[in-house]
Amino acid sequence: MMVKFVISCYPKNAFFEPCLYIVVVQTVAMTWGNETKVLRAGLDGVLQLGGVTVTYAQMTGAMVSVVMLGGFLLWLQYSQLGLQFRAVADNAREFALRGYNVDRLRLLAFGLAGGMAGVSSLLVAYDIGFDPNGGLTAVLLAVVAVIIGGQRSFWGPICGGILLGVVRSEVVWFLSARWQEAVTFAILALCLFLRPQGLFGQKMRLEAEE
Amino acid sequence: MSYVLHLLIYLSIYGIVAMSLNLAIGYCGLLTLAHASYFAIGSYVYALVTLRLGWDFLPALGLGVVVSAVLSLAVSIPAWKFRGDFFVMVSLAVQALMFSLFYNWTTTGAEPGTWQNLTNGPFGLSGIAKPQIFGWKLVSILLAETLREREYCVFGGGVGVSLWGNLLVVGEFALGKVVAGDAR
Repeated sequence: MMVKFVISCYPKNAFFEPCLYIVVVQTVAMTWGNETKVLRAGLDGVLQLGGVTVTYAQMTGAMVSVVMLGGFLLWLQYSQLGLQFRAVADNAREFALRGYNVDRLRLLAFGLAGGMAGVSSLLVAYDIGFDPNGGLTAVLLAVVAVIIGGQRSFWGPICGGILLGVVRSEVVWFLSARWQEAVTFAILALCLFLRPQGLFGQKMRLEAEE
Repeated sequence: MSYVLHLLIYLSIYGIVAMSLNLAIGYCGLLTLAHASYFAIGSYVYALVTLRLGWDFLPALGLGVVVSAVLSLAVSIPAWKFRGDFFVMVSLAVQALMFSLFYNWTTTGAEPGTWQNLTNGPFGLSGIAKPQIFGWKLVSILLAETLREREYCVFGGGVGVSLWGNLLVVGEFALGKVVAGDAR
């Protein structure tokens, strides 16, 4: 009942969410200010591992993301709800035909995705700080990572994200920081033309697409 | 009054952009995000050709429109095989690439408009000549004020409007005269 009501209220236009995003960002900027804020006070501690220098914030981020991804993988593999999510990813129409409520699962996935994005944004805020306009860049990078990694796969977006991060750092090293965006989206275009299903994705049968 | 005229001109300029975007999104259902890059390409072509090569108003205008249309076509042919979300992503990739290119094609110290400093980055190209049509200059006090505004009309990225601005000035003769008539 509730699910049906929420879904029926939601505008079906693709421009609705960007509009919502702009309104939220401007409200946050007007309420709490536009400048960059940092969660951590003072300088961060540093760990030396041979020739590698790692800050504590980076180590925390790496550990939390490994734990979260491991937990998410286990949950997807072994819980009943995880099984249902994998079924939706595989063939949503057939899953609906077997009597499951796909809309409810999709709303749940949306909320879960928001919570996971919140965790990662906390890690970023602890490491390099945050400002109201920083979200769009991060989400665009995540979308690029998902597409070059492959949708509907678990390891694809992770490998895509790691690949993207390494390439962007190499661009800073060899060219200049200002060409990061150009190289990122050149990779995206190249990947879309050469392998539209992504590095780890499989080609879908046409009738399973919606 | 000249502020209202300025507003009307920009209103008409962005009206053209909205109409052209409606052609792609509304009539054809192609949700493209790359539209601003063609906007920028047209204005940069006009600005560079008039600044560096000294072309006249009308040929530069034609070249801007043609280059913009040809590049748009060149992108749309490979993008043709994508549907839905993937088409949006392709157009987003094109837009981000173009923006990054225009924004970063700059070298400090080099003269704007040369090969090392083609777009002058975020500072944009300035000093674009006022349009002349077959040697005719546009003279009218209000119109001359309007045309002075054309001089700073190419900024970086998707904000460049000189092409459409100049196109609009031609179309805006009648309107300008009406406004001038009201003012007196």
